[in-house]
Amino acid sequence: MSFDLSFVVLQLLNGLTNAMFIFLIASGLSIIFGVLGVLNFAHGSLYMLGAYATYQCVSLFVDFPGQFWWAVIAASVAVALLGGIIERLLLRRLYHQVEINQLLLTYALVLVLGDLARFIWGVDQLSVSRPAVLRGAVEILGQYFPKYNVFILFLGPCVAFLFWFFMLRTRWGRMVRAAALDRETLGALGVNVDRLFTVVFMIGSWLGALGGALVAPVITIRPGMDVEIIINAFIVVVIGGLGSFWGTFLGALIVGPVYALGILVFPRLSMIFIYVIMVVVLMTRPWGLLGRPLQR
Amino acid sequence: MKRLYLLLAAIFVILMLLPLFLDNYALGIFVMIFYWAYVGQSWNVLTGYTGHISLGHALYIGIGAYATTYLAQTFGLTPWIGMFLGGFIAVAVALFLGFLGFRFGLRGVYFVIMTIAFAEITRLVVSHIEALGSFTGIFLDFNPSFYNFQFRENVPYYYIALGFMLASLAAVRLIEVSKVGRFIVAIREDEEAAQALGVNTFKYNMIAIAISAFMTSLAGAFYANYIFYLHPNSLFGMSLSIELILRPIVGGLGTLFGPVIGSIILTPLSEISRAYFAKGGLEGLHLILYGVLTILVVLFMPKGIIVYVRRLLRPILKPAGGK
Repeated sequence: MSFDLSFVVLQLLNGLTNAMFIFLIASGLSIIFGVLGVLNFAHGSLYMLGAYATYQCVSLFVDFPGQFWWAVIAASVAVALLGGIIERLLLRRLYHQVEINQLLLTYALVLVLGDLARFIWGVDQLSVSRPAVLRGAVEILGQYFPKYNVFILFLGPCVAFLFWFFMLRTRWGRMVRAAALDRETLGALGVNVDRLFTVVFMIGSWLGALGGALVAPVITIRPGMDVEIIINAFIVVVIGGLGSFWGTFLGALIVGPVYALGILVFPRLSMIFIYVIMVVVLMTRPWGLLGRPLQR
Repeated sequence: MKRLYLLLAAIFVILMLLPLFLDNYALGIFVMIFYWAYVGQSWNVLTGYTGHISLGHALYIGIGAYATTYLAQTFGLTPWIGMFLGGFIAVAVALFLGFLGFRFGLRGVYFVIMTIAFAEITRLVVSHIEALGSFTGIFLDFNPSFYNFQFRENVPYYYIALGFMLASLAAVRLIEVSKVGRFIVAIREDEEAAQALGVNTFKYNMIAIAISAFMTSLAGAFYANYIFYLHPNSLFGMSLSIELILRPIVGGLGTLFGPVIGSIILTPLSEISRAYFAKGGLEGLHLILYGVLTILVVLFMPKGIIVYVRRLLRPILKPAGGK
């Protein structure tokens, strides 16, 4: 096996692209855990629905110019609304229950949503073509790198920055951060915490669905992608620290490239590297690289 | 209390005689009821009694199934002994996981994710080991005999599974009344308080996870010689880990009879609906059913069905005047 440098660089870029996808998805998971205290297994299902809905919208909007972009917006917003309904009707009743019941409820949603998707879209693999402006590739060190991936590499940090700005500078952002620290006091100060929780769950769902919508052109959409992604997202948030926004970003930046470069060494067992990193992090900093120790 | 023992004795006699009256298919459903009750009970020992949530218990089923089958195929070792060797491997893995989890103070969801990760790592590794059938799995040869733990009819499986379930009930009851059991429950209620009172919580958590893993892995040996096909995705996968915790939760987490009650309700439902929907070409619809049922139980019966069963049995067990 010869290590061609340009090939390694390309693989690194691919890993970073994947890191941006995982970041979008895991940041939704992380903010929901940080504020609501619920580890949402169904987050992977929302991601999957985001991808399926994008496929559906692309074929519906076929006559519009820029159909892909409209489809991404429509699909992610639709899934965010679904998330709002789930929080209102189901999760809300469980905040005072034992943890295992919360986990089980969100896993039950995985089963229900997974089966619903199979009924609506079948079991065949579906695909979405890349938007017209981003077809083709750029040349990097003699290797071809898709333009769409370049776009994702820029989009990821942009979303991260916008989100950080929202959390730090806006009223809603401050309330979300306050809710993560002490929801009782926030409620006593006259903030409608119930509504805040719904909004946070919708934002988290939107991020997950956005990840699914944007990843649709580079993967095949199929049943089972929900459980696959949720395990990766769990690992990313555990490495970075559950509930920590920049921790999630850091976790994704570690996991994406390590997996991509690991493939060069152990083609089929690259995930092992990720698990080893996770176990080492848990042993040295059980609350993740940038997280806070849990009070409970 | 006397009436409770009478009731249990009556149920025992009925269960012993049942194979005289049932056909092979109906017996198969009972085998599955006992099997899932046993597995649920094994998981209950860890999560129900210590409160540490494991969503990776499929790991131990997989270890039991693969170890037993590998020893039988390679060395001709009878599963009756092989399953105990598999059990020791499962205990070793569980102690390693427990050491990482309890020693480094992993709380709540971090422990959960650790258990999932261990099962996933094992699934990946087994999927790439040629000697264990890699990702296509292992088909077991069918050589019915007591030595091989393989039988033509469901009757022997029925009695073995019943024995497993009764043994698990007896074991968990013994733990419940022992000093170890009291310490373990104290850990669930308030780990820090227990620690402050001088309970070595690390030691008792380790005991609980070891017992739980050992019991679960024996179920894997049974599964292998009942289904005759081992596949890494189904034996180490997260769906099995979740499937096996549904019954104790529906029945009543952390209670002796919860897993049994949950299994009596869920297992026939899943077997019948699976067969029914598969016939109509709707494989997988039973998952929606499962999901909806789980949501209903979690929302409306968070303490499990055992609460209602107790209420139902109270007039029978406790005549006027109390105990």
